[in-house]
Amino acid sequence: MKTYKLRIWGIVQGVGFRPFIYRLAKSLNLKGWVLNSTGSVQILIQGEEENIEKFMELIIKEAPPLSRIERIEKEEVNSEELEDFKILESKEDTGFNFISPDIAICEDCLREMRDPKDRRYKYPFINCTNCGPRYTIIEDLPYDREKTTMKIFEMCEECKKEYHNPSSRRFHAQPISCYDCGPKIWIHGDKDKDIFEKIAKYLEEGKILAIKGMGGFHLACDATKEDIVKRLRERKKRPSKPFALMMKDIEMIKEYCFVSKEEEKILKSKEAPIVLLRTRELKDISPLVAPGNKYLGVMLPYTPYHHLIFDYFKKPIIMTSGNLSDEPIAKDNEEAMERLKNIADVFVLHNRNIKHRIDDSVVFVENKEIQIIRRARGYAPDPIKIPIKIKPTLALGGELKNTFSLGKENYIFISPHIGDLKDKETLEVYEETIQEYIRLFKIEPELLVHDLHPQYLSTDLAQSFKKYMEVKSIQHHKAHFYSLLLDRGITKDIICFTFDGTGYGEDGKIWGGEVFVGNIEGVKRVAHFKYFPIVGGDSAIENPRKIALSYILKYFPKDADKIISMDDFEKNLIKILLEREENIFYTSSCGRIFDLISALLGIREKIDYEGQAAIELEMHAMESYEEGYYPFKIIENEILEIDILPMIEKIVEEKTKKDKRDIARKFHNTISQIIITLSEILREEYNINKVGFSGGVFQNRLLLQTTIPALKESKFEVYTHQKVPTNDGGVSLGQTIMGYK
Amino acid sequence: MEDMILLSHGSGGESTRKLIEEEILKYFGNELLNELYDSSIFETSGRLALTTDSFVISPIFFNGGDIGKLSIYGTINDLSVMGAKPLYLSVGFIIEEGLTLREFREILKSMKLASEECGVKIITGDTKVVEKGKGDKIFINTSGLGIIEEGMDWRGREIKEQDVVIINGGIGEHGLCIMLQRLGIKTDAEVKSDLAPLNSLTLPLLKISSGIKFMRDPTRGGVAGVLNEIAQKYNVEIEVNEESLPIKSWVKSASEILGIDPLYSANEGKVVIIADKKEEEKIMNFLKAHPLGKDAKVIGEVKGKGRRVYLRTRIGTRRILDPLKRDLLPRIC
Ligand SMILES: [Fe+3]
Ligand SMILES: [Mg+2]
Ligand SMILES: [Zn+2]
Ligand SMILES: [Zn+2]
Repeated sequence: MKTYKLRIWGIVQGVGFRPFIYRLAKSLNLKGWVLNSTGSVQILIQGEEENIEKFMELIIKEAPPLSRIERIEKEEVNSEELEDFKILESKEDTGFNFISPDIAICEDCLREMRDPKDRRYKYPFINCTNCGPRYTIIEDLPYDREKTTMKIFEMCEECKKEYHNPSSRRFHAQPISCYDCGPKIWIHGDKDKDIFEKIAKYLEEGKILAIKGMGGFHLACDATKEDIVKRLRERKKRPSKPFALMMKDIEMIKEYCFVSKEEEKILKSKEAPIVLLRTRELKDISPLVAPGNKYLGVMLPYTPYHHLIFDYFKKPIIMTSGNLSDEPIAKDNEEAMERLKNIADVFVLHNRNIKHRIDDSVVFVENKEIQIIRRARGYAPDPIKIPIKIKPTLALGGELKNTFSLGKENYIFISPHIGDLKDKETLEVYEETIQEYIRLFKIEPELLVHDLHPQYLSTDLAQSFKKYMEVKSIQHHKAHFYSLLLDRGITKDIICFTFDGTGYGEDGKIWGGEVFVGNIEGVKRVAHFKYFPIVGGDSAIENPRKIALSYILKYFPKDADKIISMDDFEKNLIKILLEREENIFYTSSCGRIFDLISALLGIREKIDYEGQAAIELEMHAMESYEEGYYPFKIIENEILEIDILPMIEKIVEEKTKKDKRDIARKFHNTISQIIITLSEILREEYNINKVGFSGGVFQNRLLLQTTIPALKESKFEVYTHQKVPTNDGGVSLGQTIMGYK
Repeated sequence: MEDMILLSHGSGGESTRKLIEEEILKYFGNELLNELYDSSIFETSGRLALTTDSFVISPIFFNGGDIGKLSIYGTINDLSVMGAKPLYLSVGFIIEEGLTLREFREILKSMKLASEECGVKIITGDTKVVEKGKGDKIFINTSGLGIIEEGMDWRGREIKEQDVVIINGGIGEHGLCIMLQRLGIKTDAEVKSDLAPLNSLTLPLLKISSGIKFMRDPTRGGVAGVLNEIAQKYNVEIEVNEESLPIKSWVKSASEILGIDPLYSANEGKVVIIADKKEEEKIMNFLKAHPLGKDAKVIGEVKGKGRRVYLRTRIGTRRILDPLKRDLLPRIC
């Protein structure tokens, strides 16, 4: 006789699951109990081994029609002999809903699609219970065909049979369909039957195609045609931000990029994100795909019809989201034909409607660990399990690269990447998605959390809710701090470096290079970069040269002209502003220090996408093997201040003599050294051995490469983000801490 | 030492009388004001408009004008955009001890010329003097009374989709000029405030077009501020087209360094007009032929129900224009 504890995840509540388990156990003469707990069903089962095996088999085979088992955990336990099988009261029946993210086509479906004898040979929408669209087609719960955008397609007899056959891989696969009954894909205005051959032909001819995907439209073109890539850049109004590529298979990717074991695994995973891979050789790929960048963002085909395109087209394809720069991705046929009419030459449409739009996710692997830059398709709306329990909370996030988080108990549902709220369409999608999340996940927030910044649009939104619910704010970098803790399940003391662009600080200054110590109960700011002035608000951020001008005119007033060229108007005006402290802001931002150096070295003075100056600085640094670092000062105040003036003095001196790649490298080494030095100081003082990173600066892979191994060598435990982005896409998760306090 | 205004000038005694009779009346004098009764009495009939505004500005003399002129035009403009023909003004001075008589006279002269230009009379007033340090040279309050003739009142005309947003010329000039002068930046002659009286523009315009649905002078808060007021008051969405915004090049370069968006910078000779699309051509033709409207532009469009104002950028995206830029906090992380 054996006893096991089982835990079953998925849609298993409110669908007759417990009575089913009860009857099943009884019929097999098994003892134990079943109960609902948060997001799962727990079962204790006792009896003969072979009966338990049968029981396990039948759970999967005969589960109630509306249930959907995502995962079963089985663990042997010790137990006294039980007398009966009972349905117990729910332990913590919080009535959560879960929705599966969308899943890349599975091996089985791919095999069938390639099998000329299969009835779904080359069928563009083949899927099964293990793969296919989920979140993007779900209109309501419980997950059932009638509540998806597949409801307009009536299943044919064949499909119906599979759908109802418990031993079929398509048993209750809601998006099930076939040539006879399913959605169709076509080229707009084109009657050709071999549409994939035709798509390949268009790509070959240098056309730009808008192709409807899983979560929205892609803009696609041949990545090897310089003039076409250029045309796409012009039409999309995106001068230099890298484009993502889709490649036929892992072999093709390996021709162009270095792919580690971890990276290969992620590329082939069911999430199938864009992975940023170190370029091996561009070969025929146009340098305009990722100008000045040493990485390529690559993904594998993830819908059946992506694969079918590669049957005819054998080169890398640019697959960038179907939008104009900051706007949300287009999702509906008419919408796309209107919004993308000046970009795309050809429209590839289908009639499986997208209910929820979602972008491709973007990740990279560093020190063998995954880091998510954009959490969207494949990952959202899977919840993050956190190590504490919170009251029903809606956290609105920041402003750029925004996400929101909706959660209660120990589950947080983070929205997919939404983007820059300053964009009208994005703001609308943001508000819409919040409503969708509340409706679908059945969490009615009692608390609304927003960033401390008085001018964020999300702050305005939060204020307008004051009448209806409790509203709290949290400082941006503290939210980053908690975001790391919740992401990594840390509750104990940690030293956390929170380096990013800018966030509104508790002292009215602009923070962005902060060091915290604390734990889940509380946080203390223990160090920051010494405040330095920047003239002219947000416009300085698009214009790193202004950051350099401000710094140099402030700290090198006599030699300013020699260090950086400027006209008299600029010089006089900035000087006066600095003297009078008007129209300037003081900041401790580490991201702005990267901008400053980038502009000072003449690498990037004006940006056309966020982070460009820092990224190009990093790319320059990657070409140097310089090992030294610059001097810096740590001023012992109540809060430690990191003064970079000694470094800037040195850079100013070396600027005319040394290769800027070496200076860029030494600068990176310096930031790394600052982190290491402070970690040592703080370990000494607070007796904490954990070091963590949060904030956009830690998307800098060179910085991670130089810092993490050194810290580990000094016996620190190092934590970076894993489940949510280190950039502002993770801020909303951290904000939910307010629901705990 | 130069003659200065002293506390005694505000005491109500002999020196006050001298200041009023020998300085102020010399410039502003007319049959109603000369009486120096406690109130001015006159007869009028019809639909009247009354407005008041206080003027506080540093420096008091700036390129393109001074506080005196500003105090007259400012109130004239508030009447003019409502379709009211300005008739009478009141003027209240609060003078900080130490203002030179020369400066005061210059202001009075400038006010006299401005009011004559607009055909209005100053018919009542007040003067107070405050201790040094309790003011900023001079504050002026003016009130204006105007009359609205038949057909000139645009209120109640429904703003709806496709209505056009028009401005009569370059934006942000006053605010940025003042900012540069306050900072003591030496600038070219072209750097000046757009200060101008709008009555000669708005009143004939309202006469020729009944398609005007809204007018306001975008002073504090700038064009973006006014458009947000409209969006919220009438529940409409407004799209502004970045490419069609008339912005002088000095405004552009100054605004970039100062971090002040010209859309949020004050104007003193501009009017934002919401008009029926059908009347666009007529209105634009009129404006282009007028000295205060030669750089007029259609800068946007009403887009149906909503409450937001956004900018269609050069790259085609639509960026939200907040109601108010409170200060210069960067938001980009
Ligand atoms: Fe941040
Ligand atoms: Mg006014
Ligand atoms: Zn499958
Ligand atoms: Zn079928």
